[in-house]
Amino acid sequence: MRYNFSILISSLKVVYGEQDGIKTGQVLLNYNEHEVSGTSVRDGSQTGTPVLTLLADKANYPVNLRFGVPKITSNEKIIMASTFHTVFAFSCQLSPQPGSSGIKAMDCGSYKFFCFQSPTGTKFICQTDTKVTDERAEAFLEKCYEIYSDYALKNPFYSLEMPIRADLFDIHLKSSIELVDRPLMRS
Amino acid sequence: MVVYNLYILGKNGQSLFYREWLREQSSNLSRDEEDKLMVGLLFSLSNFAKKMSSSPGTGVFKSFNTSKYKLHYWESPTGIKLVLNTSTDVEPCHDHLSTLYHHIFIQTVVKNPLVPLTEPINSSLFVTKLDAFIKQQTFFQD
Repeated sequence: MRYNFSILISSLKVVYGEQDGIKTGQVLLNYNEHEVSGTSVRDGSQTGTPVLTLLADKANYPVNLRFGVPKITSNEKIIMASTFHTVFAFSCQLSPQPGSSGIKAMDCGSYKFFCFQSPTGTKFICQTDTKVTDERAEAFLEKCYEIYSDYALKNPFYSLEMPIRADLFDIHLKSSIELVDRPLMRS
Repeated sequence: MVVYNLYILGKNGQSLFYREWLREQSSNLSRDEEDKLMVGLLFSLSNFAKKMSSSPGTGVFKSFNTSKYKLHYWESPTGIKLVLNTSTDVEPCHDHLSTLYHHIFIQTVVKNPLVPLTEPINSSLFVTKLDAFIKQQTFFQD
């Protein structure tokens, strides 16, 4: 196996040599049964062992490495949310017709992306596969809005613009996601 | 089904060409500012689409719709970006944009040695061919 890694500050990333379903841009997630965090393996020791020293040692082979898409950190989530916010505003401005809303649906080839904005400006966003129709996604996002207003906004312990931590909200959200998924599985 | 306007943007985001057919609202921005806004929008959206994708290299931004219009986007391997705005009931016209690029843009603009691909296009041949192409599409209506 030949992979070239580049060491970023936080992770080991494949930069060259796509092979066996492993693509460039993926990062190392597991070393044998241990999880890899950053560039070191969490093997029980306090600081962890650097992956590259383990890989350099012949005695450690064969090894089982699992690659995957890097997890999105909460910092990145904020960046993406603000990117979307600007793009949403741009799309209203560039409209060739008067009175346009912002982006409602987006087609990205391998997946789709939907956004619903409530009258107060809260955005509900979901990412789906290509089989989900616009109507169904829209209905789902409206349902999310309903759940949000029922179980988050009406909750006296919830303060606006803060992360939602309410069990009832999670339960109802989960069941409505299952409702969207089910008819798809049958077809 | 209505076609509103078309933008052609160069590799580094310079505006090469703009044409509108049935645009109902002209924006309050100048031509130059609007082009810059469009470049910014596309740049952010392509990056966003790439980042959101679950496997690297698969998320390619193709189109979006709002309540009033639909934006179709196609990018050539050399970085020329075609953007077509239509009404929302138009089917995805990714293929039409690539045909437009291959049969009209390449033939009349790229193959013209006197036109650098960083300057705005002033070719009347290109404009007539483009007009004819857009008007023959099933989704174009007067």
